[in-house]
Amino acid sequence: MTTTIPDIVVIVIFCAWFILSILGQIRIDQVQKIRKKDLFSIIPQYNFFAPTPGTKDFHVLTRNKFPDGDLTGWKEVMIPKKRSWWNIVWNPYRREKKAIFDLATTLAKELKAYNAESVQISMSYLALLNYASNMKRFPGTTHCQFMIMMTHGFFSGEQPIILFTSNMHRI
Amino acid sequence: MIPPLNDPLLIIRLIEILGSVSVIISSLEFIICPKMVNNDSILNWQVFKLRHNLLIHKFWENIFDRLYHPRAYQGLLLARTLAAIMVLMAPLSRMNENIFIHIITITSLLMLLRTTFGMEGSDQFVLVIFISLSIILLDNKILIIKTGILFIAAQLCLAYFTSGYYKIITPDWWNGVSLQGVLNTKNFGNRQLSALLLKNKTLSKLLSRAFILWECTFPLIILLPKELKLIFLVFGVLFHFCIALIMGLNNFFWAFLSAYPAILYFNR
Repeated sequence: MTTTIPDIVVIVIFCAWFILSILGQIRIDQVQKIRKKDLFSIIPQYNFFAPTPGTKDFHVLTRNKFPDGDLTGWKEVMIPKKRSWWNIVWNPYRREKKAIFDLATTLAKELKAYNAESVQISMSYLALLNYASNMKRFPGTTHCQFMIMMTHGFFSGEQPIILFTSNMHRI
Repeated sequence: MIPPLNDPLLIIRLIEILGSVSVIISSLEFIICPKMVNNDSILNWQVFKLRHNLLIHKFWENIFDRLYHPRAYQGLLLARTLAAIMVLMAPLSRMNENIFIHIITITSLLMLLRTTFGMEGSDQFVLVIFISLSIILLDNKILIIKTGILFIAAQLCLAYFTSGYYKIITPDWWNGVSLQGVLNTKNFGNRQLSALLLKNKTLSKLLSRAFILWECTFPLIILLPKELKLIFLVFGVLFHFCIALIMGLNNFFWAFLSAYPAILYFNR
């Protein structure tokens, strides 16, 4: 069996993809900038939970404002559920939880890099605001606000930390 | 009778089957959770398209707005599920030379284009697997099939090695603090195990080091004799089972195991 040009093309594609995959694991700014252009996530990132794992829980809370200025209490958008034995094969709940975790941690990182006003045009802020403004709310309320709070897991005496409180937005 | 694992067509078929299970689970997880795809959801396309100029270019925006309309997107996920079921139903002995593999590849690409928020490493790994299978099907010769199997095995080795490398260079992973820290979270953790590791720091250190060393040395599996290779892989199965059980990351099990047949092919 002879090797044809299409065969060589396919082999070159596999080789190039693997070299890019190796380069994609290097955590330097230049590589990460190129990664942002990979819209389809074809170059994988395999550093699961490393080097710095998430050892905190992030919570998103919302509250609303009435036209007269009165505020409702803060309400968590997703109360953590206890996992069940069947989650070993079927665990759809983790998707929404992961999305909230990803957005909250991204916003927390953006807050370190920019100021609280600038992050209002970030994607994570807009996604969380969209989510918060579509939550069930008290009838008659006209504005909403969200907060990101960090807690320290099952066993910790530390108090929750408020990482960020958004502006009040008209719904 | 167990068929010989030196048949590349059978290896590809096993990869297809295990990968399809992962595809079915991940697709159904989104289908039954419309809160994840509606415009009032946390993953609203109208927000996520703002992340790149190309996605809001008039031509592409028009296409993607239709494609990612909640009902259309549910249809796309349904097509992905059905394609994976069709792949599963094909006879074990035959490689699935049909459109269904390509459907899974394209829909997986579109899922990750929509957003990576709420997605996880298993989705990314499954994408690598199915793009590889699609490429193999384009030029379905034994040389290409063998190259594809080698590529999938290499990606698995890279995945474990990278994960292990970034842990071994981090003192808190090596001394067990990070493992206990992750397991202490309500998101990915487990109350009972966290309590156990908090009391017994030596156990935390030993477990952490065992996983790190297994991940870092995984690429050497290609060189190992058959018996040792099987022990390495059984440890891998247990590792992913524990992750599913303790951390609730159920789909990593199927996604990563789908590449194990590729490792077994080089078992000669």
